[in-house]
Amino acid sequence: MPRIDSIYKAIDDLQLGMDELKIGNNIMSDSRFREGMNLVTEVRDFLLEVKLHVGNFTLSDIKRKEVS
Amino acid sequence: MTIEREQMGANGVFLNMVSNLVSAMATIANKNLPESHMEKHGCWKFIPYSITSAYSLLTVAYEESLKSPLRPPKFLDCGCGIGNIVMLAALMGFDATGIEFSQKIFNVAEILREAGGYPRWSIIKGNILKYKDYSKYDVIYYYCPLVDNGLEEEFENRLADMMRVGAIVICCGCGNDMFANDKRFTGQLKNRHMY
Repeated sequence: MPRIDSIYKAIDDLQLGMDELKIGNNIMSDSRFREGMNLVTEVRDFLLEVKLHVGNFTLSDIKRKEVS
Repeated sequence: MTIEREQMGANGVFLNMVSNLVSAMATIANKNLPESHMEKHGCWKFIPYSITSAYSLLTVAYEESLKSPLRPPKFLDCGCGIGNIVMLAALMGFDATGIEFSQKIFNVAEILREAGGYPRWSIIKGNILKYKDYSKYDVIYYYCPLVDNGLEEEFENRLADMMRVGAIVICCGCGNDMFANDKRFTGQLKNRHMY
């Protein structure tokens, strides 16, 4: 199981790299780069899901409202 | 494969099959979402919650609701995605409804709902940050619907304020600890657990 802060860092690094690439090149007009960027986006989204599942986000509460 | 089947038993095989189907439908539902969906609207794309964990939590909520059994308890899934948990709730005996923001995911939920046979369940295309009818429900469930913690907190505050006294909230996968600390809500109906 990876450490959660490693996942946060990986997401940040990926996002930073994507932003820098987009700023540095008009890459989205090139299909080869576009496909690569789509792949990186998928990896980032996957890591976001991992963050959701393994972080402190997975505790569940089940409670009744007793007073207004 | 035979060994796996023997270890899982029939229910395990069926459960795995259902989980795989839900994952496949999630892929379909998410496929046409624009890249900007999360950033623009602050919503997660559809991420299925564990069916077994949901079943466990819904069982507790259902049994609690039956302490005053005037009618089938009304259930709401906030940010229901394709409606798989709404369907589960309907099969467990709830009068079940889901609310979903994304039109593309809602469309998949509608296909599932129409194909789902009985018991029937319903789905609303709407925004959980603006929804006004939380007081209608006996059990309200959500699985971390919003990416942004601030929006998540806004939603949870709205829900806590608008829920009727006596209603039950099932809060899965959120880091705000809103319902863990809100004094209007009693202690856990089931041990707090990492699902």
